[in-house]
Amino acid sequence: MAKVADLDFNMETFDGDGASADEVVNAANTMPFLSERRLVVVRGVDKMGAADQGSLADYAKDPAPYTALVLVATKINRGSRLYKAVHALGGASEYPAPKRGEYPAEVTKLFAEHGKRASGDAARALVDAVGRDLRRLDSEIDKVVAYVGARERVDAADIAAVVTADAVSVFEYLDALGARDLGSALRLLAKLLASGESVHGVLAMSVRHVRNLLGARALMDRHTRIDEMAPQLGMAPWQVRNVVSQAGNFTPRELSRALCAAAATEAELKSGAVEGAIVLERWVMSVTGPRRA
Amino acid sequence: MTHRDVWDGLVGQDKVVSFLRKSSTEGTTTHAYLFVGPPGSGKRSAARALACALLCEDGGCGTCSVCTRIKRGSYPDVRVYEPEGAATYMVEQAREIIHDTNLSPVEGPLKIYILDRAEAFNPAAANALLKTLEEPPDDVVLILLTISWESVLPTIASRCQVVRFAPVSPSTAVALMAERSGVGPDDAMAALAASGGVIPRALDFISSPVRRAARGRLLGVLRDLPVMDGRDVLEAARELLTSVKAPLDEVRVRQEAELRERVEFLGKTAGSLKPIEDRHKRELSAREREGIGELVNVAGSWLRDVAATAAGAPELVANRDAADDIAAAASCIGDRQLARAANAVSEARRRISYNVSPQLAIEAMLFDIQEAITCPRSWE
Repeated sequence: MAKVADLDFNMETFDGDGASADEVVNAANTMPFLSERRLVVVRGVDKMGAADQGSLADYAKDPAPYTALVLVATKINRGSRLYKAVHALGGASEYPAPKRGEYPAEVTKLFAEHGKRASGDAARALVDAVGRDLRRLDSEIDKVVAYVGARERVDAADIAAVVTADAVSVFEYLDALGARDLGSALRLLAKLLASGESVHGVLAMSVRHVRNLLGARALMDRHTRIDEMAPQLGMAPWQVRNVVSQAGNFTPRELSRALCAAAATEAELKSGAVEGAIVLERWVMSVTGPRRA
Repeated sequence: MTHRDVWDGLVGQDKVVSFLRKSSTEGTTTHAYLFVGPPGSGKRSAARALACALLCEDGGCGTCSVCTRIKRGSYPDVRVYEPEGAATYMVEQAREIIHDTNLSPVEGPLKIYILDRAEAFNPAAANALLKTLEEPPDDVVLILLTISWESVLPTIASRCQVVRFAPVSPSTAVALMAERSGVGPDDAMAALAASGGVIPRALDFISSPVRRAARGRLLGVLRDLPVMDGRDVLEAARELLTSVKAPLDEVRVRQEAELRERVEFLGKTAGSLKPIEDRHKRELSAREREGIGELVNVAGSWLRDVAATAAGAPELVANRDAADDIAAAASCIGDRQLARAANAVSEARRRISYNVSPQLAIEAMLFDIQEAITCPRSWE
């Protein structure tokens, strides 16, 4: 678009959450200014009401020839009038997020766009280090490309040299909690929060973990065999072994107290009087704290 | 009293009724009221009755379309507000109310605002509202509700005419329940205990089999708590939460019927359904909270019954259908343990008011009660 239009003057963006179809259609029907084309973008068109979507579908029947109207939606009903109208014009395209295993291939493709050939190891190493976030992957790839310079091939060593693996999985933290390893738990918690996890999200995961431990602990005390636990706890067998070994570190009462303390912690977080990270750390200390005789 | 009208629903508040009835018929109502009274004393019903009396052409007949819609909460010129913040009114909410008061009424001659929990105005929100409270537009009546005059900011209280509601005695409430729904005294007491003594909610409770079943399940859980392990408690909490969500289906069915009626009546014009759908969403979340509050109330009343029985006053027991279990519990739980358990219940209530996840709040309440009433060594 930038080739045929001066986008500084000829681009308008709307948010489906607040904009009405009339505004969008008006913008689309406005003549371009000192340019051949106009670009109108509506983000979150799926948030618009059915009536507004209908008006956009009506517009699609007789669109302004000089305007490119781009509608962006996270999901859209294929039976809706709007989808059908856009589809009829051949303008509907879907960009699904890659599946878990497809990310390394996606990374290789992104490198190829820069004219680089990434080894399988390199692609995997990058995904492991950065996580599955295409935007972050893309910016890290830019970095790697700049680092290797004219060389065409990208190896795992290049990734290790440029990308710092700071992505901590919340499960590492939960394992440290279950192992009553206060030092690791606090360190991992700090990393998680620094990487943008919210205190509320981490607390919710912690509560879920304590519930699992409570369930496993009770089944152990009922002398349930480990292979029978998996269906009862709704987990995979390897998860059960992990949870059972952690549950053995606690008495039932310690676990129920951890859950009660989590409720108090959530109330404190939501009252907002003290900084969230401190409140959460205090809870971690109380859970991993010294075993009672 | 020769004919029935909206005021008949208010029991045990003769003074309040005669005052409000007189001022509405004689046209001497003021622009801002503060209704003060304990939970269950009928403040909300009185506020709606006053709205009916002021808006209905027959001075509150209780049967016309205006009165019915006011009672159902769908009359456009009667707006009910509750704090939207975790525990207080937000400044934005106060501004929204002020803006709304400046618009003309949609249907009737007046606009009436019922502001529940007036004690929840923090100084910032109250300051925004003061001017409106003192000199609202001529066609506006504000009715603020609170459980205690002392807890309302003096700047608010001093700008309102204060109407005090007397507590309704349990026997009056039970008699009223029997008259309205034909339930026996035992069921009426249990329903009142579950609904925190609020009669309309207790009547609602009586007519909902799922909510009664949730209460029965919780009484069973409380009886068995000392022998339950962690997994049992978690499962019980999950079941209780599911049963709290079940009555929401009843509400959804009624809401869908209302929407259909509306579409048939006015057609499906763009935007006309949005306010109704928003109100329905608010109603659903309020109902869910109410259902969870009911669980907390039942647990609280059970513990109180155990305490009363242990103290030799079994006639005070509200959950008569569980009297045997209560007597058994009373014979082995000490005073201090009961006090700790009661504390767990008020903690749960506080946490829910802070918007803690309901499941976690109920789990914590059950575990805390369990720890309190179980012999301290048996679970380690």
